[in-house]
Amino acid sequence: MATQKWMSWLEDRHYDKAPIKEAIIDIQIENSPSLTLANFEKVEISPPQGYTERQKVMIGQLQGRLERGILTATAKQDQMGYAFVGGEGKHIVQFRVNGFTFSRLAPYQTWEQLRDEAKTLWESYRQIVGALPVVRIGLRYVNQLDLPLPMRDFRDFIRLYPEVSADLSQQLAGFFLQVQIPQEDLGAMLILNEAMVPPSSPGVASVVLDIDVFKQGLRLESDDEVWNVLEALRVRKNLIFEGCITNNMRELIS
Amino acid sequence: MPAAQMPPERDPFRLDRFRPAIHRVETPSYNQRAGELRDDWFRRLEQSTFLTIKYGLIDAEGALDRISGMERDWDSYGAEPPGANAIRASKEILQELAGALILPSTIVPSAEGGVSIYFMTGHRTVYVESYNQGSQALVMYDQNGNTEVLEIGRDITRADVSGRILAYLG
Repeated sequence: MATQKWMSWLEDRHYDKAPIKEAIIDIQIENSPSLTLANFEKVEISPPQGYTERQKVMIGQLQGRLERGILTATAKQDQMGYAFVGGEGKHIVQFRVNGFTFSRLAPYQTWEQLRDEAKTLWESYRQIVGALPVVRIGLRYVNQLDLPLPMRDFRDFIRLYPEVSADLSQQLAGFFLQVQIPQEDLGAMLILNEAMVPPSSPGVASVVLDIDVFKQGLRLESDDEVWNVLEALRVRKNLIFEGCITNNMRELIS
Repeated sequence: MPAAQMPPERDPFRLDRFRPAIHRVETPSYNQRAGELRDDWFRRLEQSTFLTIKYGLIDAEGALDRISGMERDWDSYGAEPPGANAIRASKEILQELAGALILPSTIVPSAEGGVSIYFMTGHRTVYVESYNQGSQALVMYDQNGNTEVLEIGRDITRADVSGRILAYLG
């Protein structure tokens, strides 16, 4: 019981100085031959209210081939949809033939504001694509943790870091780490990327903590189900974030 | 029946004993997996506006650092290398534009002594030129030869540059 209360407190914990640089809701729909970019253009897509059209969304394909030590590469780009910017440059929404992505840049407000804005935009997207089923739902939070220098050890602030052998120099100029952890109880997957990046200001070491939890292989026809899945992913994302930081870090961002 | 031939004993500390393994990893499945990881990382970068801007800015500042080390007469026509003032002013303008979600297309030294930061779309081009002596200009032109030049600080404020670039490039 005590554990449940503790977990519940962690799930909803709010930080005044939350290190969230971007929150992303990504919903992919089933591919349909009846939905192409031409359909998007036929309906004369216009920006959602409060948004301006910014750019075409392209998908790039880079194909590399290594043969007998010689690398050759070819690249091509296809347009997949449109991106719009709103919310004084803090909101970016993509309407693509294969799905919808909504981003909120810093400063992050609340989950409720993020979800409600995404819902409104999703309804606009639904009007264009119709009732195609949702096949993948993702929730991604990109955090930047600024660790004060001088720092004794990463483990004073974060609980996921590369373990460097004691026989090697402990001075790290950079690292990039990815873990993929199935979330079996949710039928979801976590892909967590962590990397050192140039510091945001003098006197700190900056680490990006990029948490992406998603469910794929779905076939959801009801939008209510989509938002229920997102609520569950959001709770899990909070637990994952808490699992990656120490009390020292909590103090820094509180 | 002849006895199996044993390989000659090798010095275990000779690094070349690993050579065959290096060839073996160049297999289609190895290349495919490496390609999948690369594509996944690019998709993750592209999906995140924050990371796109963050890494784009790192690349842009890296380009500025590279051209800051050029020597006099780098173009063989007697051009001055970009000076510290021009580099600093260019970094400031890059930071401001990144705040408006604008990344440059390319960064080159200016033959007039300074740095030019280019932003391009299909038919239109904008560049911000930061001169060694401290002034800055915003230059806009299209493929029909229409050109507009604004001096930053006199004809347009620094704060209005990003909005003007976005409006022009569309």
